[in-house]
Amino acid sequence: MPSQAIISEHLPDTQQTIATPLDDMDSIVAMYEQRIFRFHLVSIRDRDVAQSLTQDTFLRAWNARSTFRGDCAISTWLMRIALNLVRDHTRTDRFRFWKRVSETAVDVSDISSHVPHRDSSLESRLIANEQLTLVWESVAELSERQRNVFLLRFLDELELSEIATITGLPVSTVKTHLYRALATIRARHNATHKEDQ
Amino acid sequence: MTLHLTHEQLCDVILADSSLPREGTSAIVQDHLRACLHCSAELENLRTSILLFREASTSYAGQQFARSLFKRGSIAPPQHFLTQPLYWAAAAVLLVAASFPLSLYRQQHHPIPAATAVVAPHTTESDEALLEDVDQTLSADVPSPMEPLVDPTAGSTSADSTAYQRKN
Repeated sequence: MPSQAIISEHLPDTQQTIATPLDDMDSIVAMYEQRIFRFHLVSIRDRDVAQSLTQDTFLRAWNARSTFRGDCAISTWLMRIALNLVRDHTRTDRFRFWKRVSETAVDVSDISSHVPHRDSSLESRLIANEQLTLVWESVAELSERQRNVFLLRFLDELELSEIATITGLPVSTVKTHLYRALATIRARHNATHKEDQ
Repeated sequence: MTLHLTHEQLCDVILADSSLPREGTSAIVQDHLRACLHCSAELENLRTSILLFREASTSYAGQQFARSLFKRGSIAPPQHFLTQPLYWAAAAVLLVAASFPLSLYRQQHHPIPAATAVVAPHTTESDEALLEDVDQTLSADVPSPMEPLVDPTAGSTSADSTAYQRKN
């Protein structure tokens, strides 16, 4: 079901009178839905759950639009809601169970077919797939905060100050989480290179 | 002993965030990267891996998003389409058209119970009438050779008949 339809179904009449920048939810959904979906998909790694959480993100945004003060960008505000939903979802035992049995879970093999191959040689393709797998698996090993910060920086390409606003952490803490996340990836890189040699 | 970049220095180069003030060490780091093959190779490797991760994830998510949009379109059309009377009329016509062959099918495959239910009383009535007809025909139409003979003494009294018997 489209996010617009869900929002209009849950539309409380009392809130319609207050004008906010989020009143034109159709255009906001059209602008940010794909981005929010991508964040959910790579965070949760399940297509159905990502769709559901994307709808929930816009539904929550609609219900709480009167609290949007405009002190940050709409995209930042939406990402904060999305991040909270991911956090709520991944902390439940039900998530851990369904992650194991879900048919819509995203595997690294699904992603590897989307690796851009600028160089068509077989060797370079294999190396690229290996590098992708390494990062994909490393991200799964990260703590929840490290993973969120890493995805916001390297998937959504947000600046550290924006990440700090979204997560509610100081910039220095955001940086520390990124250092640790990159240390995990570097460690796997080095281990793989040692095995190859 | 060869000195290399620290982890933080290498990470700062990868992050290369415009929102942060440039640190004094960045020029030294850049000089080192130009001179040290080990550090520049590691930096390049990390950058490439992260770039591949971003591009592949974005491409995959884009494909899945397009699929979900397609599914939405095929399963649940937008609400304003459902409000148009033309669509409702078309749906009603389709429903009638679909139910017509179904009713024909039912008539063809289940005629016996309906026929027996309706015809059964008529059958019993017609049987009884037929039996009555047979009885009437049997009792009425006695063939002439089988009819009783005409009594010749039909006009005389019973006293005369006894006298005649005595004479004989």
